[in-house]
Amino acid sequence: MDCRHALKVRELALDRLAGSPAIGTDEPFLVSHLASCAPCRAEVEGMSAAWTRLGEDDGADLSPSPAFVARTTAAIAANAAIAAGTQRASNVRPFRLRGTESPLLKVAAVLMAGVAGFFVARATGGGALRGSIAFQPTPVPFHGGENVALVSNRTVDASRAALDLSGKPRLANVAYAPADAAGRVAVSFDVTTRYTVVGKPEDQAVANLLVSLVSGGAGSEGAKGKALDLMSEGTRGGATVSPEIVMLLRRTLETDKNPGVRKKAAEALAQMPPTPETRDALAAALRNDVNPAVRILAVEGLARAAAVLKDASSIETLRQRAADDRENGYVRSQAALALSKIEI
Amino acid sequence: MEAPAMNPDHEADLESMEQVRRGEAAGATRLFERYSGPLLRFTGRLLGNVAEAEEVTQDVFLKLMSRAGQYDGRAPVGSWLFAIATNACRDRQRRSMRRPSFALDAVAEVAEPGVPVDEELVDRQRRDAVRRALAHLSEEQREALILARYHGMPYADIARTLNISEGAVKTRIFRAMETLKAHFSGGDSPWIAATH
Repeated sequence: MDCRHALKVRELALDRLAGSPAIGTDEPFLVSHLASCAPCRAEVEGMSAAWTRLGEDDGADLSPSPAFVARTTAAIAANAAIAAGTQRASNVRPFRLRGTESPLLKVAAVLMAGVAGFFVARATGGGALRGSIAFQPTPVPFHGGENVALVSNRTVDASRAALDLSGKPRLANVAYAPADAAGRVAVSFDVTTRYTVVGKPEDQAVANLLVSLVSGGAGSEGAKGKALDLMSEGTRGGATVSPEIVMLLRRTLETDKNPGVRKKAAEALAQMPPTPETRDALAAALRNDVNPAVRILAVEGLARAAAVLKDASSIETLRQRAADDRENGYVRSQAALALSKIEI
Repeated sequence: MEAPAMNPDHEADLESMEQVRRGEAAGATRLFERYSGPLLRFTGRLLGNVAEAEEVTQDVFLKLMSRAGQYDGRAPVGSWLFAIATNACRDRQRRSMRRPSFALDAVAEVAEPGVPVDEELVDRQRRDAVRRALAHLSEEQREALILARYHGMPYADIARTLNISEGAVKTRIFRAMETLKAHFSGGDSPWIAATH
């Protein structure tokens, strides 16, 4: 193109199309130039035509479907519930303290702090003081209403609370800190308490515990895997699954770097009573997971979802996978096999 | 043109963000109601796959909840959400380079009731032709052009969303339009040629 203004004219024309104020005072120049320069006019007309042509994509197929809205709002609510649960857990004091009003008891509490308190308690026959903290192994209540908070670290202010050591707990890893400027010493120790939470996987306490273990509370990959196994077993009989667990499994499938863990998450999802949420999580795994074993489990779960939910999208996902020549041969054959078994 | 993605009611968005920060699902739900449509159309055009677009859009709102503390209020909430969506799409596209993905038309769509089938078909063909053309652009050009053309975003907001300069925004859109102009004028299918 010969016109020396060609580049500037095209840029201004684009500003005009995009509604940019950048065109500003150059608008009259653009108009007059286009009126007199045929090559520039042709260029700008071509650009305008392309801009208009883009409008033929009205995005009608990209409106949020009712299923998508329902799924996402449920996910938002489940996420908020998980976050609220975590926040509550970090705020709740582990053992309930009652106010110690008597100055006499306050003095007694100071005297009983740490190891000294242990001996004093033993010497006095171990009678529990009102307002004291019991280190006695406590059976974990699982009837409704009670919130049992488990924490890994806690500091007790001896000026405000007493220690009830009457249960003669085993104090391990004891460490001492010398007096600070205020003359306070510190004695740290571990008390091991074994908790057993009994309940069905759909019970909130069990669900929260499993979610916590899989989310990182488990000490090892093995423990995480066992928690996932428990989720699978618990849901095999068609029991209702809490949305927190489904959300967690989906997240595990999408983010966990260990293929063994992702496999267990896929297995748990595949065995749950199919819902749109489990189906979508499995479909995403089938599309995106790099591990064929995970994808095979996703195929199995989708086959169940297709049979139960009777929805076309699961079948279509399986069909596409079976027909995809870039896919692992075994995954393709499993997808084809699953399709052949679906009775609708 | 679609409604602009940048909502003039910035105050209401900030209030919703405050709710999200406090852990209230209602704030995220309000933002979802306001932005799910534009974000779904944005991610759908970027990824070319409805199912993946839905997944990414859902992730945007879950990330909104987990990252609400990172929002500093300087940019409009809409820009921030579009920035999260852009990054999520980039991650998804990087992953799909290793794994196959499906084209938009791979999943059969059901015609809307009341719309004649042939009219529906024509609309879909035109839409798909535009998306095929968009697929010829680089990822960077596509992001900038879609925000400008379909979401009416000013250059400054696009720059903030994509974390680039305004000059770079203009350059990307300009190059994208040059490519599309050549693509459309060359004719992209016999069917399209027959309908224009």
